[in-house]
Amino acid sequence: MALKQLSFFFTFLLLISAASAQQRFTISGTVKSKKTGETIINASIRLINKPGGISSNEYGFYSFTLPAGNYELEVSAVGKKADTLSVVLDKDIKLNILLEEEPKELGEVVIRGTSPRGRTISGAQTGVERLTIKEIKNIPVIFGEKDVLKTIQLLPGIKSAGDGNAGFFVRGGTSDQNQILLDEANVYNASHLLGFFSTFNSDAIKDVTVYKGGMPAQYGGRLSSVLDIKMNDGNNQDYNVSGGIGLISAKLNVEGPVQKDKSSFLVTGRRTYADLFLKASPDSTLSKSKLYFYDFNAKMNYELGAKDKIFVSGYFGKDKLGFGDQFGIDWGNTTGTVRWNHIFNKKLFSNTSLIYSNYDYSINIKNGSNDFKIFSQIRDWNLKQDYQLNANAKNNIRFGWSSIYHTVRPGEVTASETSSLGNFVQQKRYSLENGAYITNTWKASDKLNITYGTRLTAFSVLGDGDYYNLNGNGQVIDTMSYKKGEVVKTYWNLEPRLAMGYQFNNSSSVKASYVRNVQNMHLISNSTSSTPTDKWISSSNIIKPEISDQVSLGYYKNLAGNKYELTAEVYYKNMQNQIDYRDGANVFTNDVIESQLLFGKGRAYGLETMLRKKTGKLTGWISYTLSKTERKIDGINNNQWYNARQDRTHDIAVVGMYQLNKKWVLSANWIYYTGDAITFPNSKYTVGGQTVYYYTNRNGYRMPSYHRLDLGATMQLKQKKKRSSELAFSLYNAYGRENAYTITFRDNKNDPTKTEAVQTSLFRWIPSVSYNFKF
Amino acid sequence: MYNKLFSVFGLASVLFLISCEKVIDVQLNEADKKYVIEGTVSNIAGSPAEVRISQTKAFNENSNFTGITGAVVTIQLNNSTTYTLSETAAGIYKSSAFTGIPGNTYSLKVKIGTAEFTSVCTMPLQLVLLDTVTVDNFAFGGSSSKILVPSYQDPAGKGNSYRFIQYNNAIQVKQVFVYNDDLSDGLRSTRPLANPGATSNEELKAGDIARVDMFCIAPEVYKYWYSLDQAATGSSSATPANPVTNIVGGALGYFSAHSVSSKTIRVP
Repeated sequence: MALKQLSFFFTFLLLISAASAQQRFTISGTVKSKKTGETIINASIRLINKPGGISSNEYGFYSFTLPAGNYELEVSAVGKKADTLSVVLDKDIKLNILLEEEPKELGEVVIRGTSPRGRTISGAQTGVERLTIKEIKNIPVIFGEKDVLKTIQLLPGIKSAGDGNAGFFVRGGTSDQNQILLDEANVYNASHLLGFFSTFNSDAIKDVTVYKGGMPAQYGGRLSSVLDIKMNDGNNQDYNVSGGIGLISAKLNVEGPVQKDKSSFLVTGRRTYADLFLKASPDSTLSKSKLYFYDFNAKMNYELGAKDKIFVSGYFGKDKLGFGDQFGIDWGNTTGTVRWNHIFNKKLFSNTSLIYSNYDYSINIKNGSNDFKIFSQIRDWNLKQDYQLNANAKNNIRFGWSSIYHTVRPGEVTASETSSLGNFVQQKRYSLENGAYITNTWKASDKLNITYGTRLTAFSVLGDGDYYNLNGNGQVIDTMSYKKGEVVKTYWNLEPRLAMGYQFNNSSSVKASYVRNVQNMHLISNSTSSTPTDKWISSSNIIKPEISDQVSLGYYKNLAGNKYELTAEVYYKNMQNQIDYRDGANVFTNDVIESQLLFGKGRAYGLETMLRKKTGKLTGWISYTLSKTERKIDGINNNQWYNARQDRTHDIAVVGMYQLNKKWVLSANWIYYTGDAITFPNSKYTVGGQTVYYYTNRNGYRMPSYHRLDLGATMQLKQKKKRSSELAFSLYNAYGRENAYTITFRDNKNDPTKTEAVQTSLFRWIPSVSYNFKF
Repeated sequence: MYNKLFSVFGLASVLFLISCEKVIDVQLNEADKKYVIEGTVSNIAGSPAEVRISQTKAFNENSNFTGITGAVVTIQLNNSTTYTLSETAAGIYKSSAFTGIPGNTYSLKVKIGTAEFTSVCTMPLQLVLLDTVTVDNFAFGGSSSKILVPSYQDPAGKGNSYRFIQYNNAIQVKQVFVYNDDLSDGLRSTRPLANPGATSNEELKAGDIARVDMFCIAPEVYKYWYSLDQAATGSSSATPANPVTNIVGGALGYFSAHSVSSKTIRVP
């Protein structure tokens, strides 16, 4: 199949090349930072005084084909000084562009979401948010730990899953419907320390892009969003050590050239040390307790010549939590990516990636004679090929394929001889996820941009193993055994993608998009908060691929000479084959996991707006989302539509940063959202001597609304030529709002005939200070 | 055990955090009243078959049992003899005319006015006895608590389910303890009766008299208690839902034919 697709692509490619054999020349090369040699993603290269422009790709590579002539080019990127180049295009030119750092002067831009020219309004891409680490560094965060996952939740349409939860919800999707990619590798659990931190150490990250809708065809596999995180390549000019020490964690980052200008490395590590305080405890259970995480990012790149470049990057993270000898859990992700960039010619850029991703957890329990271990794992091997063809001035084609082999070990119990539990293994599940795509960005006119393409996926459920047929009550009526490698079922899906943008003038545009997404790996979770033990399962003969169709429409306007930017988008999303638990489900001891599940559909719609101030001493944004998210699942809520848990009517974020003087930057953010939809009891009764609650509607109630103010201040300490350091202060939840984490119901302790509702809230006022340095 | 684990996990996470608790007012809309039926047949001679009938109550009412009188309650044995249970107190219906026997099937029928509810339950054939109850120390979060460890031998072959009730000084501990042999078929079980949310009078102290009743229950009754514990206790970590009942006709509750064995110990 893949072969057939490939030959089709190549034929297509040849046709395009032939069609464009006119008096046109190509200027191509790589955009880099002059200071560090880091390649720059999404740098804008624009013709001055003429319409037309392109952006560098995820490896900094650009290729621009134009009729012969003299041109003035403006090259700009976030946090970099714009540069102007004069080019005489009478032959093909290879030109690497080096951009200088933006001088950090008073009144200069500290945060800017888009390039100076206001990229938001150009092109056809809707529903995208892009951040660089530089932009988020002054936003106050919990425990003073910069965190991309927390920061993107301040953007419209991306909703926090609440305190103590690293998950987020995009346009009505659940948290597993976000594809989180770290250098192209899937990260299955992006949380550290029960969700208070994300797995991403911001020191190692270059660029974060979130697609909420209109995903380009090279992405696929999740319904709601793509969070594409790119690691830094490392400085290829100079050695650098930077780091930070905070109240609960410390980190260190080392980077430098392997061969100047040609290759570099980067190693970043981080560890929390809250557990060291436990060690000091005289209580032996506490001193033997564990509660920490650590993670490493490492990357190296090497230029093999003018046309070839190799990147090797990896991530390893681990969380450990334990109480004495009795209970311990550890979990973590490991990812690895090897990439080979090859420039075939001035027009054709290729990248080949071999990607490994692993997530596992294990739980150890020891109690009296009971001693056992529970283990679960998901592991991917992925081979991926992407081509970018700058066919001509008007057409930019991307195509490629990928093939992922998934192995899921849903749950395994290993017990000691004396234990009350026996050994138990839920069947391993194997699957092969193949995809091929082609997409073209067509500049139909100076004002009209159209991106169209499609993705074709084939998900094959593979043996060995037993698969089942179930009746309506979830009971097994038939068992089918498959041999190793035998195909149980293949799901074919075509995922069309279309995006159109029409630019009225220099300062306003309108865009529309349609996207279909298919998801074959599903996280099933019945808990009200995310835990490391939530279960990943793949599509099977019974679990169908989740499918979503989304249309969105957006309006973008730059105001007051590009000082302000206004965006407004509306969307409607329809979701098929959504999964929920049956009442009383037990997915841990049951080998037929499908027997514990129910299936249905979902819909989500909303309006997202944002007003952003991009320049001046004061920068920041106000974002507001109005939305609705519902589910309809046979067997839940009398088969009627009900609010999904993540349904929130209003969601507001106000983010401001103020450059007080050369030394101080002050910042604040305030967020407000409608409480989650939740199921509360309607009555109570007594059974077996206990109070039991009676429920009628799923998610028929609301948690109290959530709001919080965070404050931050960064003080620049003495700055020498290469050395710099700063102190960052933050106060999380500044006015001490007791936001509800849970609301539970119980008997009154003094009078058990009475029942009461109890609200539990986490953190009020978390102050923190951290010291960051660089030399 | 497995499910308890996660409540331990959840509790651990909360312990670590700077959390605070307060009693709040929540506006709950009372639903239409539903009948609640709790029916038991045991193998203990002299222990009558009992059916308790009540109704759901509004959240702010007291939780005391308010019986529904005037119901017609019958239990039929193996599709032959039908026994009528008589109302001995408001809402409590009993019959001492028969004693349950493992392997026999019992059919419950309850008529309240025009409403009719039925349920069928077979007393598990395997009579498993509680061998011993011991006390173990369970250290957790800096404090140590005593927990009871019942010991019994699970017979070979899956499908056995057990429920335990713990009494401290004759006061029932309000906690659901149900186990099945999905992961422990044929093994000796020493799974402790872990109660992470124990109130102060539920905590065992030296000198206390503790009693453990062990019931061999039918799989559908296990399902009832398991789902109740998972989702209907008011403080579950799972999405709240009503327990999966084995009563047909729209009533809440369960009907269980079970065998019983007990042990009483003095806590050392």
